[in-house]
Amino acid sequence: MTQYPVRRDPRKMIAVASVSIIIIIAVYAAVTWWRPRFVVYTYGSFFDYGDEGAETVLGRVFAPFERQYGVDVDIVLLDVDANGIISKLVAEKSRPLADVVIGIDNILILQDAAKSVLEPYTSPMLSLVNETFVDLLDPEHYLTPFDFGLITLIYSTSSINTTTHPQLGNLTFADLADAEFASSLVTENPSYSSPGLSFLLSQIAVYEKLLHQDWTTWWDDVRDQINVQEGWDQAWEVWSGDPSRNLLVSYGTDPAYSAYYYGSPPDTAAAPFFYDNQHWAWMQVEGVGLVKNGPNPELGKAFIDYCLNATVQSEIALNQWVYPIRTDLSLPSVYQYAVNPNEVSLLNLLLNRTEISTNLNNWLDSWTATRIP
Amino acid sequence: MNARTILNYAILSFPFLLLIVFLVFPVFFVNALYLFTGPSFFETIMSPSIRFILQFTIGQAILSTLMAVLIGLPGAFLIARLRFRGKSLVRAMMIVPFVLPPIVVVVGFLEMFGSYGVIDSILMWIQGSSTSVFNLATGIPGIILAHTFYNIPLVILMVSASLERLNPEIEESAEILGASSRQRLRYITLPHVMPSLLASAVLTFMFCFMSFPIVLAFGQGRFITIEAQIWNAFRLFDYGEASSLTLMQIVITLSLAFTYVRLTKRENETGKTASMKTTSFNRYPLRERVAIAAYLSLIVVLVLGPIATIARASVYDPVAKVYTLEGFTNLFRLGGQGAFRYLVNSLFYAGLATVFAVILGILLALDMRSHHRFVPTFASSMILLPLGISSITVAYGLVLAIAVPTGLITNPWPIIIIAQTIIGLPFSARAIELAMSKIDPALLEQADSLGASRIQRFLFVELPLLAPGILVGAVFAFAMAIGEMSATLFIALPQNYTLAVAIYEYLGVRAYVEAGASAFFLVIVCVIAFLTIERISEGSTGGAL
Amino acid sequence: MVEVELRGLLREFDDGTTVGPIDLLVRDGELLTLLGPSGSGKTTTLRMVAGFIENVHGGLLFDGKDMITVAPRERNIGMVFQSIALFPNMTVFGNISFGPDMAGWSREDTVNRVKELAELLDIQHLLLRKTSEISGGEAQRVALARALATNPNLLLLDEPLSALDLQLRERLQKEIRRIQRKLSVTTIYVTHSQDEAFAISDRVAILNDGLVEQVGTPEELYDFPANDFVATFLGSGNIFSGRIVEVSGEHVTVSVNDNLFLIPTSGNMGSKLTFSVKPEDVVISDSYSEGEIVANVVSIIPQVGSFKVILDLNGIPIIALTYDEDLVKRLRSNGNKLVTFSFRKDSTIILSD
Repeated sequence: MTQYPVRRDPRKMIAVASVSIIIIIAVYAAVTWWRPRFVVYTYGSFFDYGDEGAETVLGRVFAPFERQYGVDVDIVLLDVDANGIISKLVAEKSRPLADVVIGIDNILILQDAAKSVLEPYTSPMLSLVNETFVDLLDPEHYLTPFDFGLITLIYSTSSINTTTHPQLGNLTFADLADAEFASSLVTENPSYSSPGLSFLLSQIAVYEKLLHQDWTTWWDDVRDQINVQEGWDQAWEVWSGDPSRNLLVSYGTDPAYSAYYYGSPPDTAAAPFFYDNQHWAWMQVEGVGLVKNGPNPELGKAFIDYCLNATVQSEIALNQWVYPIRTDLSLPSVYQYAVNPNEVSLLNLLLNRTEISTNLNNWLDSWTATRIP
Repeated sequence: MNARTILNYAILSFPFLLLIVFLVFPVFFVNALYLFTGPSFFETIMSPSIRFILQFTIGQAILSTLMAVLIGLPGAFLIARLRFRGKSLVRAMMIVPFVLPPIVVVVGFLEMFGSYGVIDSILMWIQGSSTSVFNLATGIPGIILAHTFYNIPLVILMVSASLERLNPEIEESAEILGASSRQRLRYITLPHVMPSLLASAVLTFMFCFMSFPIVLAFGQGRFITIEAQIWNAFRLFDYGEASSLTLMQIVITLSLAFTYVRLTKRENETGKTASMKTTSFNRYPLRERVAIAAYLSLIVVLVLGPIATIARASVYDPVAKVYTLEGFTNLFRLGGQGAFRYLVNSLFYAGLATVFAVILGILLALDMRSHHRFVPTFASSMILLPLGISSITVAYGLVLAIAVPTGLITNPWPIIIIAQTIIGLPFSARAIELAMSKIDPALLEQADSLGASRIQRFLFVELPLLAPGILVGAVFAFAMAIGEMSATLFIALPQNYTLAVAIYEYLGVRAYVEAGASAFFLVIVCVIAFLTIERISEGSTGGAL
Repeated sequence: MVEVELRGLLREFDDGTTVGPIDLLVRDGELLTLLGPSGSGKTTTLRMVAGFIENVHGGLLFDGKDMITVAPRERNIGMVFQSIALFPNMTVFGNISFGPDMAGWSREDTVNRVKELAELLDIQHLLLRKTSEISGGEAQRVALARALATNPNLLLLDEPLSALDLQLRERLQKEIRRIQRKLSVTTIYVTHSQDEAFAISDRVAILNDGLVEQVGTPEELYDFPANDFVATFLGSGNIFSGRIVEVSGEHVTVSVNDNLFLIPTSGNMGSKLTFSVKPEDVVISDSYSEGEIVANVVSIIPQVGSFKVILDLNGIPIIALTYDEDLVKRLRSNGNKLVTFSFRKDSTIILSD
């Protein structure tokens, strides 16, 4: 009788499988069960450009805050940029998870969508911050300034320099439209990248306000030579991998980064634009904001205050590679190679805030139109 | 209506109910909310830049489809007719593009076809040039090539499966009747594979039509698809435009979906023939052997090239210029930057999504076999809907309509599983439906006459017979789910990130070996799964699509 | 076992055609065959009895109990399909034990039953094989064993032997007959082959266009076909159709294409009459005598133990059977193409219209 196969009831197998699946789900759910905590949304590379990596630095920087208020601070590093974070906040608007958001900049805050998810808050710590930054970022205090950077062109000195190309010392957009420079230039898509958008607004400011010309003509001139990448990561990739593409739209602190990691003098130099006998750059100010209707508003305000503490601010230079908003703190010595904010005029100031917020989408549409073959 | 009929209707309508709750409702929710807030629908779709985008989207999709079909068709013939060792491995490799997140393909393409890539370096060495002379990984050539890379396997799998179903006796009798090989191809073979060829072309077109990471990476901001423009609109909080574009996309893809359903319905009737006429390479005349070799080298460069560069990237650190296994050890490292949690997430989400996609797939297959008049057509188009709706719209809708009201926003992993289930569903449902159509109805009546209850009949007769189809569908659904990135990224909090998302993150911080090893791991998991399934289902995997 | 009664059983198809209404009584323990040309509704009738067809009108009684609303699995039937339909995912043992397993028999009972049936059908050696590893004839036996495993009251066989070669078919016919007798299970058998029907059945029902033409034992059907369809279908006779031109006592004279036949029956002058004569009742001779009818020989076909002679009588084909070898030899050698023929006494069968 044993020689004949016994009919196996698949119900047993299905039952076993179902039970194991349920157990796995239960274990996973238990392990990842959400405990109420203090949530901060920011972008993926936040404090991640230093020696130690984001996790260590963030642990160190926010441990005193956690001890002081007896909460778990969860810095949620979202793998999206600031626009993506705002999109997420908009979707979650009716029931926000985050209390605070870090990384919204002075262009993005001009969008109504960004303001719609934030709650204005004037931090008492603002007394330690230069008023210019508040005006540049957000006089309405939806955001509190956190750090700032200068968007400018950088180049690798190994392939070009001020000796071979003296124009680099006092660069104009007209120089850039020259075939040799145009086909060396890598920039980012302004629709997808904040340095790319800053560069577009710089160009618009120069053409519309300094030169009084139609800004789109420049993009028509460089249309077929310029290399537009999706974001800063990809653009940096092309710039560092292709010796013929040696001009990049990036941050004025990049020479300092280069000096810190690859020795000084750095092989990277910055070339701010030169008009009216002065150098110009676009200043990107990033802020920290209180999420509207967030679960812990008081804690959120305390957190924003804490962000202006020296404990936090002094870590920005070497981990974020932009300037801390507290100008009273000393900077690492490699910052001597960075573009000095005191030595450039700000292109931002040429375009007023309402002008940008009313025209931004049109400008982007026109820009897209210049790219269409 | 007795209890049995009610139960019957409940089972039939269950998958529809789920799809309506988790797909139609969220998408409708988002669109209805915003469709009337922005510029009107017609204003949006008539604007010159949107018209250009629409033209480009369709144009590049047509071009990519033509390329994929032209290059894929000879491959399908080779797979069906050529006898060689390692055939099942070659077939298994076909699943690789399904699982590779687009960002990985972009990197593979840059390393193979970009400036200073493999081909460029060879050309530079030949010409003695010190600067780049060749760059195909940009602009329209880059977009078309990457789409071709993605879809050649689709064409090969579907058409070769159909060729294998062609009874060799038909061709032989044509030969006896004096038809030349060209006439046989024209009058016998091509008409036979035409439905599956067209079906694969429609699917290819749909994938290219919906493409966006590839287009963003290679498009230079000049070339964008509707899908990319929807992301764009979302990023700029222009939900009105996003809704209008989504609506337009749904209309176009739904009509394509209907075409697809029509085309595939016709071929289902023929079963696989017992003996397939294959010939070994050495038996072909010299001229054809040269042609085959030339074709194979094209495939090697185009399809295997980027995959090989990914494999190399998993062990070669380009910054330190050393070979290292760090990428793979990182995969199993707990805590810190280690990828183990991503790996667990990937397997857990994709595994559960596969289980659900299979269960729903079985129910939908029952719907497609139902005798009610509209149910089968409705079911067939419902399963294709996920292929045609922008993933950002789905993700946004799921968050807005499901995650926020239910409070799942704090720990949104169930939402990720739902999104991945939806993405895998078209593949599982189709494979299972195909398997179901091959079951002799007499077997089921036989079980009835032997006193089996409905559930017994299902468990002891139908389920075992469906098993190969279920497994094939499961592998494809798993591959789609584990490779999914954009919807997951939008829904997830960092603790929910999967390997596909981690790859994106690693590339951002230039952790190349970690990214390469993660991508390679995804590939290996899916290839092994595919090989296992091929063995179990005896090589009928291609028919799954 | 069970007595099955079909009372006006009717199926309407979407295109308006119908099978039925069918009235039929299958007696307890008998083997009744549904015989008819393809498309005559045999299989549909069988499937209605099995319960696979929904929306059936009329009555279906098993021992007087109405089964119309009972699901197939609860009718306690065994069925063998034309396609055999062995479960490919199970062994032979698994196939045969399927019914008992579904019914929840004990393992011991199941194994004993399978062994018993395997012995009965001589397939003990196949039990552990896969269904792909057995021949067509073996598959047939397995299917039969599977259908019988749960002691069904009613066995339904749908052209089970149609795919087999002649020799195997004849052997299996005998076997089915033997087993059916032994188990005395009520059986309905569907076939389009007259030989098979006559070889195997207690009674045969002739179906045409969805209706039962005649039911009877093979002998009854052959000797007394009820109408010209049955007579033609069974090939049991030469059919003549004409008008009565003379009535005299116990005979009438019928004119068929101006040939006069004297038939022992009654009827009205001028009315139509159809009758048949079996080939063995047509007597032919090459010696001419007065008053006999002369016909042309068209061909002579040798058969086992006899010759089939096809005649032409002024355009009417007539088939005659003869055992007279000398006659055939003479007809072949002398080139004489004329013969006389007559019908044997009391051999004409009057057919209803």
